[in-house]
Amino acid sequence: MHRKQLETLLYSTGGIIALIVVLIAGNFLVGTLNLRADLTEGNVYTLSEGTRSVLSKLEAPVKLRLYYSQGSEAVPVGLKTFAKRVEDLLREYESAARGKVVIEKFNPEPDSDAEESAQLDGIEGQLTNTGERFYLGLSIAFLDQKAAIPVLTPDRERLLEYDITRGIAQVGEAKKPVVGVMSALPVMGRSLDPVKKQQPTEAWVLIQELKKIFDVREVRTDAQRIDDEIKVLMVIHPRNVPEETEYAIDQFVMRGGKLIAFVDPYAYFDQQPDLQNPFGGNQAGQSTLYNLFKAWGVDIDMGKVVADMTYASGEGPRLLPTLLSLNPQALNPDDVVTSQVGTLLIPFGGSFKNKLAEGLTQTVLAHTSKNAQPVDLIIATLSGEPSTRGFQPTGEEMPLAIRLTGKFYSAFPEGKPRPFAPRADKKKGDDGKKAEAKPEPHLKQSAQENSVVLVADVDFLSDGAAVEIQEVFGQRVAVPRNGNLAFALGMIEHFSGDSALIGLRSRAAFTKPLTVIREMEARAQQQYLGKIKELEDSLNQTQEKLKEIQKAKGGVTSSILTAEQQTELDNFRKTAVETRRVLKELRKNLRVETDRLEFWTKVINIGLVPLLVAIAGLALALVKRRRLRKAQAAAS
Amino acid sequence: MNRKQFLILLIAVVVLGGAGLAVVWRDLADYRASGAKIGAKLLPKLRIADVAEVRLHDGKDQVTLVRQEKAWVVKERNGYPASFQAISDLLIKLVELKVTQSEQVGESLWPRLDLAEPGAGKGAGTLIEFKDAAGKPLTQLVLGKKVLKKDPLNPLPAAKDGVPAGRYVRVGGSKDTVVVVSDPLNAAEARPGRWLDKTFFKADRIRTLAVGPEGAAPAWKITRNEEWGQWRFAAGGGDLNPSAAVTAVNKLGSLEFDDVAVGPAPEAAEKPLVAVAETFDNLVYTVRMTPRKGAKEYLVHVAVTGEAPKQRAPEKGEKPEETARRDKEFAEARKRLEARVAAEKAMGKWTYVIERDELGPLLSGRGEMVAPKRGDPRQSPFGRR
Repeated sequence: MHRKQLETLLYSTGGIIALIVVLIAGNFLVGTLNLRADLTEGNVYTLSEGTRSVLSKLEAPVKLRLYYSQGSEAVPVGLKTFAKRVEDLLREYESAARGKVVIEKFNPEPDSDAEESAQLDGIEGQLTNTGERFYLGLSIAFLDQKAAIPVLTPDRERLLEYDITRGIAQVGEAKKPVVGVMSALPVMGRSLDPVKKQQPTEAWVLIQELKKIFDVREVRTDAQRIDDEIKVLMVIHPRNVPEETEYAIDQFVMRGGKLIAFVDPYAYFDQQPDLQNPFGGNQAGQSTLYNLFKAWGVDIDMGKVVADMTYASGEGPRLLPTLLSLNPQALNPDDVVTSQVGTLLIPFGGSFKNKLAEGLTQTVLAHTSKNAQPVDLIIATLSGEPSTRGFQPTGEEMPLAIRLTGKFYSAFPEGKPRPFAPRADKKKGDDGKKAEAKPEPHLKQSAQENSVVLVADVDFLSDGAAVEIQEVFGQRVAVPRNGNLAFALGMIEHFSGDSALIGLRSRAAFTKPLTVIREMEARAQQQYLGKIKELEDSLNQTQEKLKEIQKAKGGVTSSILTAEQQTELDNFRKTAVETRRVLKELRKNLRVETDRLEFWTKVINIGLVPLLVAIAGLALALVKRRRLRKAQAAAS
Repeated sequence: MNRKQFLILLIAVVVLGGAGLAVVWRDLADYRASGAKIGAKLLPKLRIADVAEVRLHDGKDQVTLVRQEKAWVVKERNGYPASFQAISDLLIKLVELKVTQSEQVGESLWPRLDLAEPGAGKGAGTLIEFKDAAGKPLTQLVLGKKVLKKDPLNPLPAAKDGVPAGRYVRVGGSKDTVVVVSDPLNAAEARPGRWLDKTFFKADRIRTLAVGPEGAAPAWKITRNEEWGQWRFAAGGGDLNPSAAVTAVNKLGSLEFDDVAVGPAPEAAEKPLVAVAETFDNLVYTVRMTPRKGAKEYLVHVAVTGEAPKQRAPEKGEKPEETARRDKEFAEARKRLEARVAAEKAMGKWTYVIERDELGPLLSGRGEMVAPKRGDPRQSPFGRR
């Protein structure tokens, strides 16, 4: 008996160990299989059609070199598993490309040939805590064209397919399309200027991303002509552009060039000296294209920004109705770009109110909710309760970004504007010597249908609104926090003809807003606002009543309250206390509802699966036991 | 658990564990395979000792470096001595160079990487051929485009697109395989002047220097009595600009040439200028400088005459024990001088090509050699003709 028990014990112990090994090995083997069911919204983890489209256009093999330091103990486990997912994704590329993509993997050990190759490809190793150099980067090469992702990070994982496909598209193209950028802001970055006491700044992330795909050329804000090579012109914050420059943009559109203009009644990131303030100070800059908008029938109120209670950011004292967090419901679902952007963060933007010129049609790309209204600039940055005082929604969805399509007429029917008359004291000889070059023919109308995109905000393109800069092993990595960059880049790509990349960019690492909670909060806000208004009205009425009482008695300056005044005052106090109590109750109820929702969501997410497994285990045990008893009963 | 169940589990461990190990091995093999393609020597079979001729050709220029009995010479320069150091550096570098990256590139795409054969028009690279003493080809390779690496810390405008960090190379006989090496091989030029031995004459210890048009009186002549004495105009006539004098004299001791002229003498732009320098060693250097028409360079011919003194003049108050030492030093110095002068005399058969800027101090007119008066705008001592 003793021996049998010992045997059973040994077999059981060994069996458990073997079972653990089987589980681990099985788990590992299943993990290597490239099978997955992508249940995410938008199939985030499946190679997209855009990627397949780019791969199908390749004329010769593109080489992807993955540099990954293996065996480094100082690297977090999360990063190692991420590296595995990168390898999986590259295998999918190889499979989808049918020989047009060649994958090479290198382990850049210190002073090795692989490390030399990494450095040649622009992949720099990052120093870990132990002083080792760790490499996890990808180079994409086609002959002498190279693109590199020097650091692959989990934070940017959802954009990984976009980064790789963009790199492949970039190296596969012989010549990059040309995009012009005109801006009163230092979007292209600026060098050190000791005279103006300007520190050097980097180009905006938007421009850095653009440069990876396009040949980006800066266009001066006083340009007299837009170069013919430029196919897409991005005008960001055209503050004080002269008429001649507006004319140049006008003729650019007439020639068929694609314009994307970002104007703003309140450019928060462009602080200008406040000339009307006797004490100095700054104010937010403004920009518009006055002549062009007038000709197209576009109107934007430069004295107002949009406040929206449904898409407001923050809550409680940090509620900021003029900082709009737009979700897909605010975006045009039928537009190829906005349908895939996800969310937009619009800080202190304006809205369009158009009476379009003949021949033009408008497509709204982004709009407010009906719970919105234009508010004065002076309260643009107010938050909390003061920002909601006197709020009266218009009941209409106001356009924030629009596309105009049709045959455009020139905003300058008389031709190029000549603001300055020739000097009277000009010598006769000068006319002959400095004869003007033959003037370009003036285009009165665009020959074919054209499209122009207008956006009533500039701030949403800035790094502060669009991205989060993270330090990863000493490298600065820009992670999109919303769909702002995707919107701008998508528009340009769409206009430049490359729509394959548009869909890829929507897989950004921004947070998906909890729409149910938002709606609950919006409903409560509505009630809250109503109560505030009631309270204010009540206060006003009581104060009016007090004044009347004092007038009737004749003692306006009397400091002694009459019995009536005292009663009125007591009533007012009671009303105020009661209203405050009701408000507190309302806020508490709102929190209770959201807290309850959060609690049950957590319970389901954390506990449901283990609970189901436990129930299944128990059920199995019961069934087996019943069978055993039946068998025993049959045997006996 | 009974024995049967345990054995089943054990078999499962062996099967799954083995499969797992196989997968891990395969993953590691991917990294090993990629690593094996790189790190190999670029020219594994080439032995430096076998190389007797190196030819570089880029479609515009060609240079053939030939190893003769005692030295290497440049064939395109009528056998002018080549720089052994430059050839040695190139050969050692090429033999030691390893492949950093490898690509499969068809012949139709070679011009894209500047790897087409020289003479093929656009996209041609620099061909380097190695031959042995019998003239048999050893190997050849074509150097193509340089690989640029971004250097954000480099403020130079030229570094905007990156700095050269490597080069595409196509080794002869490798079919469609193109490699990248981690050295831009900047020195591998096909310009013959690049490979010449740049040893040149050095006129030192100059006592007098006269510069003027050929066949006429010198424009100016300066002299000094002692080796470390003050310079003055030989025939009087104004104060000498000491800085201009020293610069002109020093230039004769440090001239560098760019190339050697071969073939018929090209047309001269003007009459030649001649600089005659007499030294304290009784040597006379006659440097004839002829400006080349339509070019910013001069054709220079150097003739060295005279013989160094055979005996040393004892110094005042010299002690007997110092005499022997100084005599010995003098004898050694004379020996070195004789060897140098012999080499410089041999240079007399060559015509050198020197940039005008390099000759600048010797091209000064008399006005530039005169010390400027107070208040006068200072003229550059390096006046140009």
